[in-house]
Amino acid sequence: MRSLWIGVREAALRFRPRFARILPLVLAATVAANLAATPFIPAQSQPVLTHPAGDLVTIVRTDQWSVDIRYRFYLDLYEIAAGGVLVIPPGTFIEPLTARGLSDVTVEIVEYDPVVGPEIAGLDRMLIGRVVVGDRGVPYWLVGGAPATTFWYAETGRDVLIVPESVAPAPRGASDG
Amino acid sequence: MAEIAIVATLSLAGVGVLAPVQHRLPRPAVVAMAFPVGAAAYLFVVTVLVSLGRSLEPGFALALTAAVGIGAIGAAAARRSVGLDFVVSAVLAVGVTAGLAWLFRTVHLTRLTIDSMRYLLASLDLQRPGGIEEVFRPDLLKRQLGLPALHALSGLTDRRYLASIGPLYGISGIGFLGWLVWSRTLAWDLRRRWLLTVTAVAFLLAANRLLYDLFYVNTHIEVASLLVIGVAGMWLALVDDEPAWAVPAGLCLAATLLFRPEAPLVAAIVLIPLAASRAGWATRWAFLAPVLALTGLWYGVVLWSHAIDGSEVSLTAPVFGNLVAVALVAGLVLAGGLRRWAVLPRLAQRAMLPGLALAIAVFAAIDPSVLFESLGATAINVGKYGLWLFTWTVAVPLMAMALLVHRFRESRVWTDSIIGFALLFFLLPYVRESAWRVGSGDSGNRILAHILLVAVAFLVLAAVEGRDELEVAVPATSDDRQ
Repeated sequence: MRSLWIGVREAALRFRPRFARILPLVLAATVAANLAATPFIPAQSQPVLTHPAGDLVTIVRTDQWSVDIRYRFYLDLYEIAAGGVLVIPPGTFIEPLTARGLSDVTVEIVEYDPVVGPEIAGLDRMLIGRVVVGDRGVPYWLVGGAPATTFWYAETGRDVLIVPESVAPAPRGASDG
Repeated sequence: MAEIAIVATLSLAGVGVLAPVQHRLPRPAVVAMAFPVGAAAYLFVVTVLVSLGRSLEPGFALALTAAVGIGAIGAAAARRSVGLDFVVSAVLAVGVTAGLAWLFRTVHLTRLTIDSMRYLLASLDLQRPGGIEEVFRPDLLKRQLGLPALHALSGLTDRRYLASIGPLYGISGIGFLGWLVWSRTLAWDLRRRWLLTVTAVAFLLAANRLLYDLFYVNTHIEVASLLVIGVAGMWLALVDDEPAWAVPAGLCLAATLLFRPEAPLVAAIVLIPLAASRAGWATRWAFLAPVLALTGLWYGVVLWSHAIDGSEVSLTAPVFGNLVAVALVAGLVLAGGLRRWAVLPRLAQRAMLPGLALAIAVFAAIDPSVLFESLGATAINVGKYGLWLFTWTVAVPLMAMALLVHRFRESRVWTDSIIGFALLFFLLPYVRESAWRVGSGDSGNRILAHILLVAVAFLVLAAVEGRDELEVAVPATSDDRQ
């Protein structure tokens, strides 16, 4: 066993000068293969800006500890620009005042049927999970869309989940937990 | 503008902290290390404030950090060890940091996930009147203090996070590695030096997962960069017999303790070769003092009293276990400086890797499924789903080759760190009581980033260091002579 090890070690040491020569070539070949397999720079995302908190933010912050602890930040980190679209499920109602409370900008409110999904308004969506808030579960969706147009799935009332577009999958579609 | 001023201040503080030793360090390395060292100084200040029960006031903490840097510059100036060289280093460090901060704040590449939200939430909580009491308790140990404290500085800006933190750490670590490759190939012709330096840096940047980590609000790129500066700085301190390296390296290694719950174990593994080395007291204390101070304050004071089960006395309890690991290795580092006790760290060094392997074997004998699932998931992640593309598929065989062919002084600083990390990687699933899983977002896949810079640095050193000794030891083959 010992002689085998010595043999391996001697062979390795003889190989060493060649290791110095091949290393940059192997590294360069790997770089080329990796670049061929994926975009070099990740896609741009929108900046996450802080907006003044509105009524809804205040409700969530003060009324429900569980919502506060888990989603306060989503409320703080939402991104929307004037003319953006707030997506809500069918049958729910969101007051323009609430929408303004969320964003301090004028937004269009659009109904979105998660069952029909992408066919409505050409939206793509991904179910991330189901979060229990209070006494019922709330589905937690990521709704795709061009930056500064469509960002959120939301429900009205106390159970509000807002997912900024920046909470996006990792490059090449994998999610990160 | 505020974000640029914040990170530039941290960089200036970093150059300031290095002022007393910067004349003994190469300028490009000082510039590369300025931001991580300044951020480490800021984290020290925050840890002291938090352990005193104060809430985090980011402006106050930043001002204190700047004062520490300016104080260090003043002390160095009083000893006349600050000259034009220092001014040039400071201007370069601040200028590069400010430029990069502007760039990464402008291009909006930041990625936020649910984990990111938890870190940012903690950064807000730290600023509330109750300070550490306000942080969601289950997150205290898992998320630690480092990243929330850094992003708390965004309270001075119009955003709730600092887009430039990750990129600055990443560029510092990769830039430092680039300098290391360049500086250790002085004897090579210029074309080959460029080729090796550029390919080593590009190899890291082309690893999709590592590149993602630069823009992802999480702790991975921070730990990867701090670890490569810590390990490389230790090696340079020993091989060049230059204790000045121990100042930035010790600070960076200590700063990792505030980013990850497993960091004290990694730091203990990295410190064992120092303990067993012939390093003098200056080097030993430069590494040990910051590690002991941060462990004592963060683990011994804050987590002990605030983390869930923080005061549980058991070797498997994360807080107590980490305290014991750091205390043991500190004892060994000190023993190594005493002729009478120097045998102890050498024995510990011999026992460390077999000990870790034995621990895995014992756990695997009790529950083999965790090990097999972790091995399987890691293989799948590395090969396909981990977003590493071909990086680890190529790096692992190269690493095996490098471990066989390397022959340079103090190489165990690198080999013990890398193999120890690999063994710890498969021990951690038993500690956390669940196997690594398949997926780019799994913790096991993500923490592979922590060792990648160290691994690539070792690959290069295995190829370029100690060639003269080798040529004496092994006669060249006919191929080699051509």
